[in-house]
Amino acid sequence: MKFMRTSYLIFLKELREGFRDPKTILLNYLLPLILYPVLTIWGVEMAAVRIERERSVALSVLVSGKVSEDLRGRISKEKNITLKSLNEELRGKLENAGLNKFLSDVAPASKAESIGALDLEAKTKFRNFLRSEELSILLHCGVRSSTGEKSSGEICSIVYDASDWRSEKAKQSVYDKLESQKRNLYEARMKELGLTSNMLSSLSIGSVNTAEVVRVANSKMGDIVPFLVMTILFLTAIYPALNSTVGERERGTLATLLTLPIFPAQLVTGKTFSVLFFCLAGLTSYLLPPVLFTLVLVLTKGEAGFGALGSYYSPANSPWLLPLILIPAAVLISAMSVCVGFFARKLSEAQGYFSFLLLTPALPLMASASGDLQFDAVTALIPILNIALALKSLVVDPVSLVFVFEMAAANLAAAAFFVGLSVHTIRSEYRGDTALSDIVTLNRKVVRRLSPAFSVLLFTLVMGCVLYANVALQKAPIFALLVFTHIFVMVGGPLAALKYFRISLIDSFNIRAPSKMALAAATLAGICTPLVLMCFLPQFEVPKELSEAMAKRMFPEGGSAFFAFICIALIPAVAEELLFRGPILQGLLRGFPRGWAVLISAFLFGIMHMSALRLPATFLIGIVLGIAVVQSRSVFVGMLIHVLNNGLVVLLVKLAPTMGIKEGENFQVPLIYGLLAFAGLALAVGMFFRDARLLAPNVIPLRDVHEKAA
Amino acid sequence: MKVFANSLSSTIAIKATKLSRELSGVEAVRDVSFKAHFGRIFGLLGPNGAGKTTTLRMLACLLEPSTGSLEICGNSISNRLEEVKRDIGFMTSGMKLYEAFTPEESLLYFGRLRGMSKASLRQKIDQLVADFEMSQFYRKRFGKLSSGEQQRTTIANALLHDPKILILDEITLSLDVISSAVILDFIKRERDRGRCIVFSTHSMGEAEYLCDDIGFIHQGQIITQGTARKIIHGSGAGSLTEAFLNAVKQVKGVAA
Repeated sequence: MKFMRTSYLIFLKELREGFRDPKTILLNYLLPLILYPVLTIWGVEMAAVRIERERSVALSVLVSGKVSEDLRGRISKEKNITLKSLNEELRGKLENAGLNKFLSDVAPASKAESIGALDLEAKTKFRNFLRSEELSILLHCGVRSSTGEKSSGEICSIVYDASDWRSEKAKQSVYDKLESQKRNLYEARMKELGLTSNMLSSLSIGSVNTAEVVRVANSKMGDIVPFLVMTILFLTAIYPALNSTVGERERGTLATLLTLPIFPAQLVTGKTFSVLFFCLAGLTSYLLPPVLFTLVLVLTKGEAGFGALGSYYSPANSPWLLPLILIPAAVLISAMSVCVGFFARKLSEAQGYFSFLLLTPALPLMASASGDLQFDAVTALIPILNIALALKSLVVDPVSLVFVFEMAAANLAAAAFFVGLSVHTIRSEYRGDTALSDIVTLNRKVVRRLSPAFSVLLFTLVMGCVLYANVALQKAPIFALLVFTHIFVMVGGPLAALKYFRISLIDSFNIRAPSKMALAAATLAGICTPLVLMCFLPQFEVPKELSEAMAKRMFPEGGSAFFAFICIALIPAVAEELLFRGPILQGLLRGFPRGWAVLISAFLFGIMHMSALRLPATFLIGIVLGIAVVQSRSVFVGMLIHVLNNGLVVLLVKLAPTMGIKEGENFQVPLIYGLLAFAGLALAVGMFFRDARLLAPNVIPLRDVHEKAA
Repeated sequence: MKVFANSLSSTIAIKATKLSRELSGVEAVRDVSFKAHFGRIFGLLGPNGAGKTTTLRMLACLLEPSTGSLEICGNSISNRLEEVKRDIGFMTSGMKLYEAFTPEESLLYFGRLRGMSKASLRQKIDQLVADFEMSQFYRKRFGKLSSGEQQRTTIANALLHDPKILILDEITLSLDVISSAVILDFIKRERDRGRCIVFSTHSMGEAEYLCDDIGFIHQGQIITQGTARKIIHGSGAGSLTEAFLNAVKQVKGVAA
């Protein structure tokens, strides 16, 4: 209760401070409220005018060659189309433009297909000619040349410009007329021959469009609305968040606030809620006009005017879903913004972070616009992405309430994570830990040792480079890709960072000779781990890339197993150990208890393998490796386990065909071996812990040093 | 008028034992130990970059000591950090109140955050307004006040909750002679009321005028400490400045 009271006081103060700034209020909340109805009505009027204009626009068709009176009559029945003959004047202009040949090419003697072969320059010239003469299309008709046949019929072709909607429209209606003319001629001919028309054509084709105009419009809106709403959410959250966090820091009031006997969590929640308030207020003032407008359309069933759009409108969903989606989304984005605000030490630095934060919605928006992803039980659980998808499907299709609640829960959970991160940031400031801000700004005076922030940033950068390398070197030989990603990126990257910040390489990479017991335990663990995984994880099949593509690239004509061993077992083992059990794990150990550090590093290790299917296996291997290195304090122990594990997998892949296992099949180790291996693994882990107790405590993380000294 | 009973005035307010703090890979403060008492002014003296601010930030619970132990009014900071903060009023020259708020509003806000009731808060604010002669401007926006007025308001904020300990970090740094005289008198008055005051400065004159106990801090370490009288007369120096320079020379001599 008291906790909430403090948060509430902070919330109230932020609100009060916000309302003391009349410029912000005017620009963010009042202006949209006034401007947007005007813009909305103006936009709708424009749309209505355009629809009307499209219906009645005058189209002129240039006709050349011999067009039958029948067809001419059909086309000119259409009120807005006028036919224009190719008179001497126009013919002269065409000649001047050097388009005579074009015209004769358009009117081929025998084959309609030859039209496609016209050159680009001529096409451009002709397009410009049409435009300058205010003509929409050219309709050319001629007599099909006959080769011995009695009757040859007509041939018609249309020249149009698909980039011009008038031309497109004229082409469509003339085309329709030609089609029906064709049908009539066909039927007449059949009659002449004494046949009914359906005797020769056994298939008739028709199609019905079920989407009313507004639905077609909605699906286009569905691509725009998420973008608009996300932009508004971010923009309205970012400025209050900046102001109440890093702004207070710069103005010197955060220092005052931090001397108070209040918990960081109270501070963060109070500020997050105030940002949420401003975010929702901004959202409301931006969205209220269109929502009210839609409501008027719905309630009056389109009779309130607003031109042509009104009569079509029917919403796909209850408007009450909107707050259900938007409020949790706003909570998440507020918490994110506040978190980023606490990260930064200076306002100018925070602005840099926010530019990146603004890019956050871009990716999910692209994903949602691509149309491959739907708002369903799974995607509803992915924060940010679910907002874009939900908004898109809200406009287009009825949305299940279950997914909406699922989404709200996922976003609130993510918001809680960011609140936690903010609290962590404040606490680590008290502890004097290296801040993310110092690492990002490459402040090597301050960053003199590893930290969790360093680990996370290093992981992100390395992963980014690995992804790029995978795309760029897709077609390169596998050896080149492996050498590049593992040696240059995974080892070279951290090496450069550590050198830059002048952090001890020996401590970061754990380069120390292991004890004999640790080596024995590592050998045992390296052999047992893959067996345990292959026995107890039913999803662990021989990975496709290992069995098919890899096998072909690795074992060319039964090729060298040594090469495979180097590529799959040795290089990755050495490089990944240096990175994950090196700076990443060591950095995490400086901010988290050992267990958590091992779990987080194992999770990052799992993600690095970029396969959801293999995640449980890689995660578990990561835990074993983490325990081994933390306990033995030697990276070589991790390398040994890793080499053995990967080597065994390579061996099994090589042996798989001889054991009668086909590619892609589940590869299961018999239960008895699995159990034995599990016992072996447990023994190995036990040995690691025993080994740790025997080691002299000469190299332990900094926090422990302090505790000991205290 | 004494805020605390006389029996308190001789007891230890702050007990720092071997405080060290590593900042930016450098040991900003190393093995600092001292005791500060109620009813006395402890002056931490040293040149710029000696570790004064780092030490005071640790005392104010804004920075965790890397090693060492710190007891404030008998409570260790390693447990119940938020409780310990209740006994401390902290102020530096860089600290500000909200520019869009009046001093009155800011004081009300911080007082409520400290859990004070509205009635007692009103009473306290009235008293502070009288003490610091703020009646002219306490209803103007903080952003529009002069720097002296802002300083007085900020000090009033540090005293709002009647802290037993007042930690003041170079608060006279940017003030003119008259303003700093007002503030130095205020510090003496608060000492006489029984508070423990820890005060940092690089001005030896101020320290000589104010301090009961003095610690010289140089390159992160306390090189000499004791009562002001003892330091000045005991070392045979005529002034505090001389005493300080002697102490520095001595340390260098030992090192050489």
